[in-house]
Amino acid sequence: MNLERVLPPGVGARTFDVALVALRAVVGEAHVIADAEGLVPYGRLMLPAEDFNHQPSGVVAPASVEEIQAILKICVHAQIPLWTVSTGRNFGYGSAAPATRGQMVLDLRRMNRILEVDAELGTALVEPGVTYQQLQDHLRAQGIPLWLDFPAPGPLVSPMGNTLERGGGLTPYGDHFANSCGMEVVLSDGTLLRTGMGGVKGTNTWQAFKYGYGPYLDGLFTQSNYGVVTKLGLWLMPAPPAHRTFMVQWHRDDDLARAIDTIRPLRLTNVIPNFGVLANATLVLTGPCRRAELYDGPGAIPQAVVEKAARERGLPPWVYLFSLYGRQEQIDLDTPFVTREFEKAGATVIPNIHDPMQSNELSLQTFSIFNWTGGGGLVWFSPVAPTRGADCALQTQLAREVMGRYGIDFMTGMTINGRETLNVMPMVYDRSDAAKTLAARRCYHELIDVFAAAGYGFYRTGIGFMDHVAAVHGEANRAVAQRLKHALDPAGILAPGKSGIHP
Amino acid sequence: MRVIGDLSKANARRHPDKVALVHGERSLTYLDLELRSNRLAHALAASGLRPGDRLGLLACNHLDYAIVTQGAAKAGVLLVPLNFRLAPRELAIVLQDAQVSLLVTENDLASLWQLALHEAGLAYLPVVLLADQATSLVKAPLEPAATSAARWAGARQLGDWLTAFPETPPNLEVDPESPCAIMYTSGTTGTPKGVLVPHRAYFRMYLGTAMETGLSRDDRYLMAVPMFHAAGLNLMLHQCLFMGAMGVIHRGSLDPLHLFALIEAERLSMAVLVPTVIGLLARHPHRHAFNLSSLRTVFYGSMPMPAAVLAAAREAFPEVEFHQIYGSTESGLLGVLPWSDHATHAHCTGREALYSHLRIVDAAGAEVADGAVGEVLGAAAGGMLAYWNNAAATAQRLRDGWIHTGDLARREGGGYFTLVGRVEELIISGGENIHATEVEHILASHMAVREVAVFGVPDESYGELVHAAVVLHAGAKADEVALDTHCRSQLAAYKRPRAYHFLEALPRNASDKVRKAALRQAAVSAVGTGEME
Ligand SMILES: Cc1cc2nc3c(=O)[nH]c(=O)nc-3n(C[C@H](O)[C@H](O)[C@H](O)COP(=O)(O)OP(=O)(O)OC[C@H]3O[C@@H](n4cnc5c(N)ncnc54)[C@H](O)[C@@H]3O)c2cc1C
Repeated sequence: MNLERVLPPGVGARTFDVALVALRAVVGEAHVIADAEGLVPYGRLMLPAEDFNHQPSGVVAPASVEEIQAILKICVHAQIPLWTVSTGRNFGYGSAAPATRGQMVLDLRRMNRILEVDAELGTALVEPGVTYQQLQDHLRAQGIPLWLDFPAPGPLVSPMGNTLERGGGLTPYGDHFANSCGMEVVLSDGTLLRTGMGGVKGTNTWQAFKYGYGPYLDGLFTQSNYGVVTKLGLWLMPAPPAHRTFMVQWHRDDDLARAIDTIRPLRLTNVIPNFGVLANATLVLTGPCRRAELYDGPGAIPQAVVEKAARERGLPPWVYLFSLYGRQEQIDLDTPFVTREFEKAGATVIPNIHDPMQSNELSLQTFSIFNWTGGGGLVWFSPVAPTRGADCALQTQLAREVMGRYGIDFMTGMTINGRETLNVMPMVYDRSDAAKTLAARRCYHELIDVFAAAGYGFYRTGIGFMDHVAAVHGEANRAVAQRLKHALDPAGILAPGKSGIHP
Repeated sequence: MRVIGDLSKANARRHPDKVALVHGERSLTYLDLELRSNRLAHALAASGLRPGDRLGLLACNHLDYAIVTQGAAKAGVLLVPLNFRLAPRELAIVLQDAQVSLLVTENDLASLWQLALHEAGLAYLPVVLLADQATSLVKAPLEPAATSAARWAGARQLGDWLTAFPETPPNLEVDPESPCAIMYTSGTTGTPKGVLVPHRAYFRMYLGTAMETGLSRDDRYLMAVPMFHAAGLNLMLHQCLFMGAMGVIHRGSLDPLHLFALIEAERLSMAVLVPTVIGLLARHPHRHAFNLSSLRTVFYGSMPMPAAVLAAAREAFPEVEFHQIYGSTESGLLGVLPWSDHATHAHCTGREALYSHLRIVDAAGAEVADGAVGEVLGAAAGGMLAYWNNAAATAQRLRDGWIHTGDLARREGGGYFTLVGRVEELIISGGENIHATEVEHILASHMAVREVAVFGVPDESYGELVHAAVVLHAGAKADEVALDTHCRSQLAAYKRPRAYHFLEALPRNASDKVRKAALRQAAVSAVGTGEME
């Protein structure tokens, strides 16, 4: 490992050292890291970007908004770019590492107060470092009957980080940004902005009404680098009196299009109220199996091998998991209806399945995906499709073809809404193998090009690929994002490169 | 050492390898400074600048600032330090008045000087650019600049330009009696005036300051105040070079966090600051988190230190000696209040400084008695030669071998004096003389008051009435009654303000001086409505 000192771009050692003196005075000696060894965890990647390009120059971990304002002052002066993370576990999208070499990580995990939970309105106001686990423990300790919706790594990660990435979970509140309400943001010049109703003196509607008055700003601070978000309002789902999770089994690989077209009307009419997930067999097999147990030949695991292994475990090529929530009578009433709809399409419906993510249970079960190849490599390829069978089938075909050429196993876990489907494909590889890492990187870039050529865009991407994805989304979009950057962060020190936006 | 060019020359002989100046990653030894300024002197001559011609220097604090001050001096060229806070129109007036033949400036200020040059009809003036700084002070332009310096026809980089010229000293004898600079005074009214200052006057000042305050060659200066300013150029940059000491340059806002960090990291021992900034430093919540033990000496000036600030500063920096330096662009150094006098005379401005000569006189020109107020005069030998191209102003300021400063001071006995205001700011109400500064000090000592300006407003019965414009601390509360009660115990009735105007901020000019004329104007026009915004 290369333990040379990394400096922010264009900033000399002497200037950086002066800034470190100031930063240490502001947050305390223990909360600034600038030694190569201490920085190692912050530069560790799962995705196949080049390590060199994403090494941070330091870490500074404030405890308050005032400290953030002081840090910004210091860093604007010294021109030290800051990469903000809340819990910094953006696994498969870059973890805590910055988009460009030499940024300092602004680590907000010490700011972890749950500021308010309103049991009546079902809202919460949290700081960046609050994890889903912490929030759930709090709700349980207080006996507040509200559920959380969380991403798979829920116990470790934050509503803040996940929402700002526009990440998702699997319950009816699975669109986290849609279920956020009100932000507090520090701009790089120290301005403290409260969005929505937050600017009204003495407001008690900040977490109740999103839009406030005038332009609705919250979206500007997601997947962007325009500010440091220091508080976030959340909407939480009242604990349903009952729920039932179903597994729908689709028996042939080419059932995918039919599955999608069957699910769409059920989602559009909200008969199925939650995101659920439609996964292929390979992804499901990462639970019980290691790849090496099934296949040790060259290239990607052949579909025939996957289907055989799945069959042996009672699994079909495609599995759809969803839930019904509400009063037991209602669930009992809807169960035969949804079952019939799927059976008409040739699928088998198994009721009363257990899925932690759909039932407010935090677990790290999905981390078994790392055992598939070993070696710790993971990156998410996340295009969006309209919820139409033909599109999802085409995307599957394109991804399989490209990934196959790079020896990467095709997996997907689709989040299906009435109109759009987030086609989230984990690419698992052995990161200790340089050739495999390079192949994964090339594969990812080619996937972007191939999907773009077919007219598809993306819901999210990771460091190392942000410029490429931004280019797909159009020159005018990029130019406007750039103008906003100049207006809101004229010093250009917040997270350069995030979502392809550079100062 | 007799002329400004000797600051580099003599020290390059004495300790060539000593670092003179540091900014960020770059530094200059005394030898570097000598050789590069020699090159510049040749370059200026080759560009047709003759002794007595003017060179404008418009730059934020920069490592190469001293190369330019030295190079110009060695070529006998008059340095015109320019205030980068001026508006383009104001800068244009100065450029025209000084008739500069060359402008040395920088990219960061491009939008200012380009507009000013157009405005002044000087679009073809040769422009030389200092190296770009990593720490950019201006906000990134939204559109690729129409005003980008790179596109300015004929603009050259200083570094590139100098390479063509020799490092040998220029063959020119510079007369210590000749002017070395035109320093433009801000003036709170009217157009700025250029003050011609001879080399000789500056050396009196450097010597006097060094001896009065015990400066040493081992000092490490914090160079934070702007170098174009008389205090920044002379008390800080050139005083440091005179001593053969070292300076660490700070560019940009005087934020306490930056200054503290620089003091700790570079173990700085010496700083030139204004009381306002000293107050900010002394009360800053993070000051204890820094190791500031290297700091020994602080010069302050331009106003006495309010008692509360002095107390806070003493407590925050128990090891530091504060010295008040009093002088003006026209008169040079006049008074010093050394640290040892603060215990008993902190409220005073000081006493006559070594190598200076001052008098305090009444309207008839007679020295005033202890306790009385008069105008401060400085001996001509210590200050200006004349105003540039302005015989009328010169005649008014420089009479019978004395420079009339326009400052009003009270003779205190024991050799001390205290500034009480400006001649032109004297308020005459009901036949009584009232010094705005005296009233300002009393009001400023009220807890809720952040800033205050006292001025006279014309009145039919009294001639003038005392008004006060007050800015309160954020969150603090005080109304007219509270402030009047506060004055009542400390001021004669006729001196107490008759009206208070509570403002968000005081109007200031580019040199940060309060524009009292504007306040007066607003107060006069508000008489009808009883409101002032
Ligand atoms: C097995 C596995 C399963 C996963 N499943 C899911 C899933 O179901 N759903 C899902 O969405 N993700 C999933 N992820 C990806 C990821 O781990 C989560 O999205 C996680 O929530 C992101 O990490 P974080 O919460 O620590 O955010 P952080 O890393 O703290 O933040 C993410 C990014 O948001 C920005 N940011 C964060 N905080 C701030 C702030 N305060 N101000 C401004 N910008 C900020 C930064 O750009 C930062 O890089 C999974 C990962 C793994 C390994």
